[in-house]
Amino acid sequence: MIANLKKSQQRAVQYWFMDGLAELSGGFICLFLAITFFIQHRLPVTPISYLAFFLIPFIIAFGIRWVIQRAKEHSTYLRTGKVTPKGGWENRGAMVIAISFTVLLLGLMFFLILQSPKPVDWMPGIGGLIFAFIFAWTGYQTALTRLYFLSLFCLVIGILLAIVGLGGFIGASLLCILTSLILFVSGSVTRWTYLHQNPLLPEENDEH
Amino acid sequence: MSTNSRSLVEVDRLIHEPSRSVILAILAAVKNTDFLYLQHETGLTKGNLTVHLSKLESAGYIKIKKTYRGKVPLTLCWITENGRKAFENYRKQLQKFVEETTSP
Repeated sequence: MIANLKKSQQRAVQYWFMDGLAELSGGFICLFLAITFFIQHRLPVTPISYLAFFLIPFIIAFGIRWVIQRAKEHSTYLRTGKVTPKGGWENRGAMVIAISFTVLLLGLMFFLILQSPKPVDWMPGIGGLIFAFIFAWTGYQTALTRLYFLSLFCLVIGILLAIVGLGGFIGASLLCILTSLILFVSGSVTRWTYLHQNPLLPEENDEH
Repeated sequence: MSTNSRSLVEVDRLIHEPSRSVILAILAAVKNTDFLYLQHETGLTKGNLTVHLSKLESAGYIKIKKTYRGKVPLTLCWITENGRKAFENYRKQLQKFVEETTSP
């Protein structure tokens, strides 16, 4: 009985990722980042441009969350109902770890950028580490195995691209393209499965 | 009466009903859910789910808000602090009972 209760709780926590929309949206964010890195590679490097590419992903991430929410309201919630996950601030310990790690990585990134043009080649490595952390953290929170695979994929690709030394921005752009591709594939399979398992029911009152 | 039997006898009967324990378990893990999700997860009919939710609401374990999604009525449910404590207590009692009965 306890095992059943835990499974019910786990399904509720995983619900946000059940329909594949989160991964598809993540794919769009990565694609956007890839374009940003590519433009950055072409344009002269200035402090403002660096600041822009640290800020833009956050703005896009918030925008995408809004889009996911609207998309869920029009498909997922009508099929299998609505679940609002707990806010991130409700688990303070987890938030402290996540913020500390993000600040640490950003600091490392700035340090490497300020050293000389050469260490910028480590950008795909650090980028891979950031993606790997995000996926592993989300995987840990939701107990979704596929997110651990995504985490490992990003880490390996990031390190490989850093070692190959294609250049910081091109390497980071390639990392984002590859991550977006795997997210699109994973998201599409999840979405296809979800839609086939949960056909749209005619609208009706949700009560007796 | 043995200690392990007592731990089961003393559980909250309102929560001990399987459907209601599942409902509380789900609500304890998230911020809120709607009626459709709970129906999907418990496999109950609308009438039965409404009865179970009403009992939990009367006990002060959950809150229910009726609103609309477009033109369709939408019922949102979430667990109260009392409900969270009661469920946690129930889970511990159940866990204790299982541990005591499975160990030689």
